[in-house]
Parts: sequence; structure tokens; C-alpha cells
Amino acid sequence: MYSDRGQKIIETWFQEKGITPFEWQRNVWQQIKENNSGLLNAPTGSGKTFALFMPVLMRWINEHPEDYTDLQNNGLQLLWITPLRALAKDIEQAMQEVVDELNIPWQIQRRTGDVSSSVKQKQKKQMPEVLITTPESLHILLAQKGYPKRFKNLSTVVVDEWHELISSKRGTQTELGLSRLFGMKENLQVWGISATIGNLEEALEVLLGPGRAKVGMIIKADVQKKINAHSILPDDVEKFPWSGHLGIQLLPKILPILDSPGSTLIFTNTRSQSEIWFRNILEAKPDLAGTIALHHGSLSSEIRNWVEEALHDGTLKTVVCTSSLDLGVDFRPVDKVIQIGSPKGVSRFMQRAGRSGHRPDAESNIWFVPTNALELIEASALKDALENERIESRTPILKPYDVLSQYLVTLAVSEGFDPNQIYNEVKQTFAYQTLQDKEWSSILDFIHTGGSSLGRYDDYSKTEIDEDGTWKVYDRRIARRHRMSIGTITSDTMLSVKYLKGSRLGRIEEWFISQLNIGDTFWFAGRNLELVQIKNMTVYVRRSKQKSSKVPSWLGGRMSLSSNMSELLRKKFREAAEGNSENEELKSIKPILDVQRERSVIPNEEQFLIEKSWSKEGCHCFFFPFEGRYVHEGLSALIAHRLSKLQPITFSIAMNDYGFELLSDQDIPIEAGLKSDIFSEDNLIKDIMNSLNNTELAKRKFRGISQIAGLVFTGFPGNKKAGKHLQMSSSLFFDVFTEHEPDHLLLQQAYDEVLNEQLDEARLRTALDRINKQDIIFREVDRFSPLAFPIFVDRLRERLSSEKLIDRIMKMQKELERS
Amino acid sequence: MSFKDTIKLNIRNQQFSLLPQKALFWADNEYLILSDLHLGKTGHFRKSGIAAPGSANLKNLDRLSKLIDSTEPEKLFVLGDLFHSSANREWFQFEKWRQIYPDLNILLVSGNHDQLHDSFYQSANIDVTNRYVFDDFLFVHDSADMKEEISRTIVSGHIHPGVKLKGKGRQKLRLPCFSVSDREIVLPAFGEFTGLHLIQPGRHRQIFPIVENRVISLESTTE
Repeated sequence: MYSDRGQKIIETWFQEKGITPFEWQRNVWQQIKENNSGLLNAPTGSGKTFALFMPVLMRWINEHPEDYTDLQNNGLQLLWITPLRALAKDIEQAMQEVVDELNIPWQIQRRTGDVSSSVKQKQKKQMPEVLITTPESLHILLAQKGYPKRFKNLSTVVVDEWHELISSKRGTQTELGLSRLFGMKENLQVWGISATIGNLEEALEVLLGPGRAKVGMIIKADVQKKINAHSILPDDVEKFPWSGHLGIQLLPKILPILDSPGSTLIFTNTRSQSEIWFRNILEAKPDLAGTIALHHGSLSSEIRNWVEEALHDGTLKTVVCTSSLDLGVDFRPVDKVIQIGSPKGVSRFMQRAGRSGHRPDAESNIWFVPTNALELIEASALKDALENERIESRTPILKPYDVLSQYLVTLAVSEGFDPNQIYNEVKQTFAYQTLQDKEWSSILDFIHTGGSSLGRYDDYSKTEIDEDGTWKVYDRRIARRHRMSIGTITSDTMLSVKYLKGSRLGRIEEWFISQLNIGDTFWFAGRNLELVQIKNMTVYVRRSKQKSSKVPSWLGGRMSLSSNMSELLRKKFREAAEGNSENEELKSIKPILDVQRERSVIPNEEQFLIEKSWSKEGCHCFFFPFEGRYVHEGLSALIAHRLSKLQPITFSIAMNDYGFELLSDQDIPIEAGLKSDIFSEDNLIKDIMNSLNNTELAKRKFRGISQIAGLVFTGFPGNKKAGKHLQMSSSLFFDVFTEHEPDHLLLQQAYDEVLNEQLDEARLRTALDRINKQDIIFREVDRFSPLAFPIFVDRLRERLSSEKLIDRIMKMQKELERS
Repeated sequence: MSFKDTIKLNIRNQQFSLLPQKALFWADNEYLILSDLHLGKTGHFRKSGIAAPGSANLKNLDRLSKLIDSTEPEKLFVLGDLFHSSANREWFQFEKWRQIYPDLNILLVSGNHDQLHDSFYQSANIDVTNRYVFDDFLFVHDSADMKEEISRTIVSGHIHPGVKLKGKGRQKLRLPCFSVSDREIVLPAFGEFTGLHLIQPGRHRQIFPIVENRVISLESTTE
């Protein structure tokens, strides 16, 4: 049964602990022994760490049977990449326990932003045997001189939570980092760990690159978890709002859940919601103080670490959190999960549910709290999805130029790079497999000459080429600034929030603070704070006894309905339309469905509903594709643009996951529009590109792109003034490039990202295709229907106009004079 | 010489034209006044390895030429921030341009960004001062420095003024503008690659936004 000494020792260790390894774990061990690479599909809390860490130890023991308990300072053997710093600590502790008990003198260390600089310095000289790090920190290691010798002994890389990384630029960063490691060691062993997603084979390709993935393995951990989903229903649905994102009225109903034995995670969709719920729970039950805490991405790492520890050791019974705690850690027992508001996707819902009943075979219990009446329909759809296991795919990002240019400068800053060699390595990744020579040249040009050169009037300096053709950055200041900007895959100007006496609370968006005056109070990090001073990108505060109503909101992207959820939702509406559902959620909102029927229609799957009405704001047209906010962004711009070709007209546009609204101060020619085929798929791209929205959307995408590509520099920490003359908003860069270098690759990237990621061109086409097959139901309504109302009140609005700018202003003038 | 799409104002009995090219023309003396060119800004970024397009700087000079050709001023005032930062090669573009108008008198009323050594201005034949008085008018870069001035009208730049307009159906626009009152005239930033700082219309000042090559007048409060 034990085929080698290493395995024997490890199996004995398991026995002594009373743990029986699963069959699939042994499967993975076998694969690793045979030197295969691949993907392990295992959910949270399943023992995935053991599955991948143990065989690395086994191999070490087998290679050094006599002295494995003596050998020290062996250099880096295993690199463990994880997306979240919080998880790194857990993994470090778990692994340290194992090697200590086995008497293997290996060093297990983290390398993340919050690791002390003395540790980082030591790592430069002597790498630990196991390094747990983030994708950004891997790149920082590649930005250090002498990096090749630090990776000399590396045999295995594990990329944890790969499903999370794969659909973001951090995933692309990981691909590039791996490409360099493969470049240094051809037969490097790489394993990914992923939760269940709809496209596991593709995820393997993204991890290893299309070539290596052909011989990669996928191992599935067959851990079945029963998920019990319960909906919290409002007592009086007539008083329950039609729109909203908070759901505070239902708070009393979750208190008994919090009281029951065991720990609870309360997931909200946004940071402000988590702050508001936290405060309200404490007000309702002050005796919970001390056992309840808050956890979200804008809190300082000190606070977040404390919460994670306290949850771990049982000091905390309840944590209100956002997706910050979405990623699972193996050994955290949480007993119950409450989800506030729709999680917008089946996978997310399942993953969160999976955080409860944390031992691999326990049952999971999740309670869903709707924040408005219509979300109950989503709840019902989610329950169906759970039963049918409809899981979303995670779409990888293709060929982002900004990440590649950042990577090249990273290599140039440390050892320098040979363009031909790196081109070959990069082309083997999934993201850049279609990279063309032309595109590669553009990127090289960008980092070498900074675009069009002005000859002797140009000072551009970044990468230079030395005598043997190696590309390097020589300027120390540029190198320093670059190292500091690695990992800028988030945007928005954030200010640090600190107590006067020094300890950090977290970060807040600048625009929120800009609305406050000195002395104002606001609620953040679970407490009332008074604004004392703003200096050097830091907000100084002190605790306030005053109760404050201002809660910061963060501009972080709102989640949108996945296409799976959209489909399920449309089916649910059919059930609702038929009016005889036994489903408890649909029954509970019967009064609202009745109102929809009265004022308008409940659309079934074969119908496409358009509602038109008038108010003192003007003429409203509501469209209900149920495709999710982001697809509606594109659809609404498309429809608005096409209508605006019929006559000069200005629209204000709003949308949510169910539909969108066009609002104008004049009559909207919808009947004429329907006759002129506004839902046609013809000229789709051209029409979308022509709608004004597109520039705004591209500008927003450009914010992140310009940070990653190093155009926008937020200043040295502690010395913001030094970078003052180099500060320029990405918006201005966008304008300047649009006017002077319209072919600029980063501009192209912004527009591509809008089309592919945000507008989701593929999904848009599918939606149009479906709409063209549906019956269009057009209704003139007197009062807003329950479906229309939430869109109408949405505060984020877009604009589109075909009127001449000057005429619009004149109109604005006259309107104001009249009012 | 007359201009369509400009606004003519009488301030303290003097004739001023607000030009859509983002400049002020004092008709009585034929002075052309502008501010915040920030020449060399793209050069400064490029020197630090940030690839801002250098052609923006050339466009500045091009626009300036066209403006001088159409107004034929006696004197050109630059109310500060002529050059963005420490010297870089875009300065030589400016020196070369300077030779096109050898007889044009240029006065720089220096601002916070004007940190070049005297020799640069001398070799470009530019007079430099930190404030300039002419009759009832005081020319300065940043009017906040002149709080003690009560009798003259202050003409300044520095803040890169812009205004946000809102309309029905929640329409919104951001436009560069002039701000004019009895006490002061604030000019929009002339330079490409400069940002906007939003100001509020108020009871004591008028806002003149620039849109599509026209200067227009905003009579009332727009909030």
C-alpha cells in the first residue's frame, strides 16, 4: 500500500492524527509523484492544502531519506500563490504545524504586502523552502536584481483559488509570472486549485498555457455537500419596498439565527451595506457587542487580521462581511451563513453557502434576506439553480496590453530581458497566445520610446537597450516608482483613515470625504468617527459619541446578474405570470405581482415588455430584457442611439438587472423605433461605438489601465509632494490620447474591454437574438409598475444625445429660468 | 478685427473680449492675456518615464500662433505657469517658436510652477515679474495672494476654472470657463493637458463657459 518511504511517513502522521486521507487526495499525490501538472477541483474546507502540500514533502523525504530531518536552508522548493493575503497567514500556520511535527526543518514564510521589511530583506539572501505569496508579490520578486538564483531550486508551484483569479487581470499577472518560471525551468510542476466552475478545462489551459495543458490532469474532489437554502419572508409584503438594496426591515428576523448556537457569517454585497447592517444589529442587540465584528476590503489589515483570528479561535460569534471573506480557508469552522440581498450568481451563492458546516461532510445552511420584493423571485430562482447545479463559467481575460507592459518593465528593472526570449515565453500563455508581432512591437515601442517620438525635443526615458540587446531600466527613480506601482490592479483615489494617535482603520474613497467638513461625523469600521483633519492623503479622526447618519459608499463595481441567473429569472417570471405557483417566495409577493398585472403585464419568456409613461420629469420608456445591469448598459446605449437617429433627442439612461429606462424631455418615438427595427443585430458594433456612452465607459476602464501601465502615479507613500508635478488624472490622459494619439494601444484596450467585458458583446448578441424571437408587448401606463419603479429611482444615470451641444445648453438655460 | 462667438464686456470703462480660444483680449491697449500654458508638462512626464503624447505641447504653440495671428496684439501677458516644471527639452520647442514673433513683447507674471532659472527667460526674451499693475487692473497668477487689494480689479489664472451644468433628465456637462466680477477676472487654463477645477456660479460673479468654439453667458445659478 505504501510505495515509498515518504508516503509511509506521511500516512503514519495522518493515522496518528486520526485523519483518513480521501481517495481523491491520494489521487493527487500520485499525480504529483509522476511529475504531472494539473488542476484540482475542490471546494472550500475540503482538505485541498493537504492534498498538494503533502506530496511535496513526500518527494523531499524520498530524495533525502537519511537526512531529511537535518537539511536546512535548501532554497525555495514550493511556491504557493494565493489571491488574498488573509489566506496566506492561515496556510502558513497550517504548513508550519505539519513540518514541525514531522521534524522537517523547512522554513515556511509569507511574502505579501503586510510582511515586515526585515523578513523581506532576509528572503533576499535566503529564500524559505515554502513561500506563500500573492500574484503581485511574485512580480515584485521578479523585479528584484538577482531573482533567477532565488528560484533555482523551485520544483513545484501551487495556485490557490484559481477560479477567483482567472477572470481578473491578477490572473493574467499569474500567467505571466508562471511563464517566466517555466522559462527558467522547463519541467516545473504547476497545480491549480479551483472551486467548481462551468469551464474547468479552460481554466486548466489558462493556468498552464494551451500547450502544456494538453498533458495536464483534472482531479475532482467528490465532496458532496447538501445545501439547505431558506428565504426570510417579510410579514407584510405590502409594506416591503419595491426597490432598495438594504433590507433592514427584515433585521429582527435574523436575530434568532444569530442567537442560535454556532458562528455566523453575514454576507452583504457592498462595503457600505456591511457597515450599515453591523451598526443596526448592534443597535438592536447591544449585548452582541464583543462577539460581533465587521470585515471588508477597505478596513486596515490589522483590523481584518484581528477579525479572522478571533473568528478562528471562537472569540467572535458573528461577522458581517463582504466578498472579502468569500475565499475559503481550510480550517475555519463557521456554522451558518446569511446572505443579504441577491448574490447575483449561482456559484457565488453556492460558495457562500459552502462556508457553513465547515467540515467536509456536514450540511450547509444558508438564509437569504431579500432587500426588495423582486429579489424574492431571484431567491426562488437560486433555489432551483442549487437543485440543478447550474454553475457559471469564469471567463478569462484576453491579451491585456497594460499587464504585459507592466510585466516587461518589471523584468527590465531587475535583470533586463531579451525580447525574443520573452516573446516566446509570453506567447505560450493562454492570455497572449494570439499576440501578434504588430502588437508586441507596439508594446515595446510604448516602453522604449513612449509612442511617437519628437526626436531631439524628446526626453522620454524608460527602458533602454544595452550592447548585447538586453532591455533594461537604468534610471533608479523610474525603477523605484515602478516597483511601487506593481499590484495597482484597483483604482479610485483612496485616502487612509487613521486615529490622531496613529492606528489605522482602513481606507475611504476621496469623493466621500470631499463632501464632509471638519467636525462632521460619519460611520466607518463599525464606529462613529469625527473628522479632525485631512493631510497628505490621510484622514485623521477621533471617536465620536455623536450618532451619525453618514455612511461612506464605495464606487466598487456593482455585481450583475450572471447569464445563468438571467435565464432562471425569466423562467421564474413565467411561473409568476401563470399565477398559480406553489413556490413560497412567489406566493409571498403575490400582492406585488398583482399590481404589476394591474398596471401593466407580467411578461413570460416569450414576451418582451416595454412600458411608456409620463411624469414631470418627462417621457419614460422602460424595457425589460432581464439580462443583468452590464448587458443593459450596452443595450440601452444601442437602443437610445438608434432612436436618436430618428430625431434630435437627448436621453438620460438608467438601468438595473431587470431592465433599463430611457428618459427624455420630449416624446420618445418608440412606435417608430419598433418599426425601424431597433433590436436588429445588424451594425451592432458600429452603433455601439457611436453612442456617446461608449467614451464614458472607455474612460472608466482606462482608469485601471492607466494605473497598471504606469501612466498615473499616486505618489510615494509618506512623500506625496515629491510626485505632485507628475500627477494627472487618467481622464485627462484619455482626452489627450484621444486627440493626439487615437491609435494608442491602451486606448484600444479600453474600448475593447468595454465591448468584451463590460458590454459583453457575445451576451448582447444573444439577447438581441432572443428579443427578436419574442413578442413585443408595448404598454402605455399611468403609474410606474413595480418592475419599472426600481430603475426609475436608481441614482446612477448615463446620458446620450444627438442634439447639438450648444442647443442643449440653451435648453438647460431656459428650463432653469422657467423654474 | 472682430470676433464671432466672443463675449464683449465693459469693466471699469475698458473693453474686454472673452475669446473662445481661452484667452482675454483687452481692446483698448490691444493686449492679449492668457494663463496656465503648462508648456513642457508632457516633457516632464516623459522624462520620468510616463508616455504622455509630446504632440500636445506642439499643439499649444500652434494654437498660440493662430491666436496671435488673428488678434495681432501689442503685448502678450502670460499670467503664470508658462512652463510646467523643471527644464526639459520641450523648452527648446518654445524657444524656437519664440523666434516667429521677435517683435512681440511677452510678459510673464510668474506662478507657482514657474521655477526655471532667469537665464531661460532671458534667452527667450521674456520679461518676468510677480505682479503687474496697469491703471485699475492688477495682473497676478493667483488672486488668493492678493487679498489685501481692494481698489483694483485683479486679473488672474491658477485655478483652471470649470463649471458643471445640469439639466432636465439629469444631463450633466463639464466646461472650462471665465469667471468675471467687479473684483476679479479669472481666466481658464490655456494649455492642452491641463485639468479643470469646478467652481460654483454665485451672486457676485458671472460665469462664461466655453463650448464648441463659443463663449456663452450663464446668467443664473445652475444648481
